[in-house]
Amino acid sequence: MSEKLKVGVMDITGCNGCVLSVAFNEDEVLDIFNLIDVQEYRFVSDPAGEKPQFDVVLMEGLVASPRDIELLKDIRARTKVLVALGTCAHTGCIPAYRKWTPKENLAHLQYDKFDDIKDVDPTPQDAHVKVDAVIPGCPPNRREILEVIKGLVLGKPYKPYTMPVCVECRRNGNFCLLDLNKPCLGPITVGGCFAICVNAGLECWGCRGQTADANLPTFVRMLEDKGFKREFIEERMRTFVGLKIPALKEVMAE
Amino acid sequence: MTKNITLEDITKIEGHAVLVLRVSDGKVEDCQLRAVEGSRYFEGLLVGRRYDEASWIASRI
Repeated sequence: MSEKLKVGVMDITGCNGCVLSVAFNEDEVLDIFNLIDVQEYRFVSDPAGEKPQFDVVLMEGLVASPRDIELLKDIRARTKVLVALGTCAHTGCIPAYRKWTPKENLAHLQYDKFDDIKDVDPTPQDAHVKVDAVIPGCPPNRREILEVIKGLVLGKPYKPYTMPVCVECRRNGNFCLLDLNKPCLGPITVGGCFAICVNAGLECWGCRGQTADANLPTFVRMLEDKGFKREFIEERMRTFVGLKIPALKEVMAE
Repeated sequence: MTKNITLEDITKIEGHAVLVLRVSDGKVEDCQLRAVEGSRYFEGLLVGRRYDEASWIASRI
């Protein structure tokens, strides 16, 4: 085999759960580290040295501070493939929901005394740099991270899952939560998570983003027929992926 | 003799932090831990949400 891939696992603003999900592949983690050359992974070791060049960087987190923009652009310039890891990286996740939160709810929480924690608009990574691939999910599926690394090592790009959550959910033999009048977003959400929330009896919140063919108007109408208020439906859909569903505004205005 | 020690990026923690120490004759005189993470405002985002939604949202902190 030719030279090992130089890989970085890093994060900007986020909870570090995605970065941790990489290491959650406990049975395979040693094998992975034999296949690739991990240059930077703060959870596991100290950085390898001064500003290395990368083949692949798995980058968690959203842009929420000037430091994030700086770091993200620096890493983009030093890597061949940038993989956005997790929902914060993909859509901005819950921190980006503050776009729809009244300013007065947030004002008293601002630490504006310090220059290095100044805010910028909460935005996903692709608003600032070119992102080559996305591993969605909050948290991302650890098996999927493994598949992506495997694909990169073999030079065969991983093909993302595109079917709705419902496909895996029904295969798992779950009772449909919509039939139980729970506001499950499974039908309009990209699967690949093995319907982990619904398996536990919890409705899907749509953290992996909407499917390309999601029929929003019909879905919203169906939830309304079940007795859910428009404001609630809107809030629920925006919580994880608000920035990636601009069409929702028009649907709600109808 | 006074010496400043700065750890720019502490490893094996969740989030980002910088540790700044001022050491004088082997004694630590000042110690600052700076959180350099962007703000996420979870406390504010929870206001007005349904009580049974709080665990979904707060578990992402």
